[in-house]
Amino acid sequence: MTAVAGDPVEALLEEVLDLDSDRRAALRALGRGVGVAATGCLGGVLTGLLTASPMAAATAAADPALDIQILQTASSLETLVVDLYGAALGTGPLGANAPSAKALATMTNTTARDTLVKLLTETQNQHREHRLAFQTATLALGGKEQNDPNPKYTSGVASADVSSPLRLVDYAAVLEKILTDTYVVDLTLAENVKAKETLAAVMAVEAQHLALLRTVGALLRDGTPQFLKIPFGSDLVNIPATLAAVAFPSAIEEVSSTAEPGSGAVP
Amino acid sequence: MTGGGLTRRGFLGAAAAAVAVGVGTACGGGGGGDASSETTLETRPPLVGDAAVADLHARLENLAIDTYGALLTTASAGKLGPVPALVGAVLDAAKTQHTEHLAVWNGVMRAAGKPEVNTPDPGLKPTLDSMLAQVTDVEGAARLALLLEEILADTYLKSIPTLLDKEAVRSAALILATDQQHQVLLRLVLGDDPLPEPIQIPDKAAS
Repeated sequence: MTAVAGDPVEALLEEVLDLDSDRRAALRALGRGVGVAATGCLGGVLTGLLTASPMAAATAAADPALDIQILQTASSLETLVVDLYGAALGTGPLGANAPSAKALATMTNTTARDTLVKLLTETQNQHREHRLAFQTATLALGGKEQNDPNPKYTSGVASADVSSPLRLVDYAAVLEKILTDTYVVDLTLAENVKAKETLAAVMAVEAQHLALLRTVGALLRDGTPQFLKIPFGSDLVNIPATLAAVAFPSAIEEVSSTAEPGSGAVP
Repeated sequence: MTGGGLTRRGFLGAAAAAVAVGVGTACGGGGGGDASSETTLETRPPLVGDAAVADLHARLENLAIDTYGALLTTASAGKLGPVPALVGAVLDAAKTQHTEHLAVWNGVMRAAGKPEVNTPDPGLKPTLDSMLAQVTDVEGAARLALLLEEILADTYLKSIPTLLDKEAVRSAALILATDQQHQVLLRLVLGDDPLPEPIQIPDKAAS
């Protein structure tokens, strides 16, 4: 399959949205996905792109208020986890004195520590891109950009016990599960096609973060940080088979805690 | 992991061909998943709406079950060499979970008054079988499994916004999440970046 996005797509985006370069880049990324989808039999050509415009969005959802709330709350959840990972990486307000940053510094296996830092850095970067995608989609629907963390969870994150690498990883997994579940439920509530495409595309990545954190947590919990490395190399034969059930414990996971659509909405 | 009869470069080319073949042959397909009888296809009205999506998903879940089954059989026969316990567990668990996923879509088919789909996607099956025949080691098996998961996940990603029934949307989203998680362990087994895409793009979606 060949992506079909190109100049006409970008031109259309720029025509309907007056956005800065970062937002245009994010939209281009999402637009490529829409373009690819449009090459298949199920999608109509440019259907997704047209719904990214305020005019088309208005026709796709009679009342976009709920979609805007969903997207704003999603932005607030992304900020929450960006901050969590930032603290662990020593780039938050407390710098290297953050409990989670100190916890990472205590790891004596330097390969495991470097691997974990790399994974957390990559995960944080991906959440930044998710936030940008949600903010862009919010603006496209005529809503206000949400830049604050979700108030429902802010105090909990601030007081969470992340004083060891394992506790940090376990807590991050809890939040990733909340994000995944929230976006799953949001997909059943949202009406705008572009909002749904964005939610699905981001949810899919949060699910991967969750599986990876579960895997890392299991290795730390089992007292085998020496296996925390990519690639596993010759240690692959020593990695416990139980990791499969840890990373994806059931075929269809139960939805647990979710952030309500209005919980992170801009007042 | 290195080496193997199905090298990474060769695999990527074959994977692209698989997706292209699948899309090219599956478009306009559907029809209840029974491609063995042209008469049946001609007389059966085309599926529409959620039933058409469920049909597609069921065909792909059957493809996954078949392919994982073949990989496990090949591994059990010793044709892949020593199989690390984690790799065996991933293949086995993924096959089991895809069987549960198939049941979901056949439930949707039944609810729509349509026949269950118990055959793999006819467009992708020959290509996947051809790739399967080239698998001679654990890396090749993991790469084929990863391609399969990517095709399924991307197809779910593409179809979710088109589904009308809220419960079908929820099921598709939860299954997508699981398929994404299968990919994480397969990539770790292969030594690849487990988080390759910041925002998922459905570039391997079948239709």
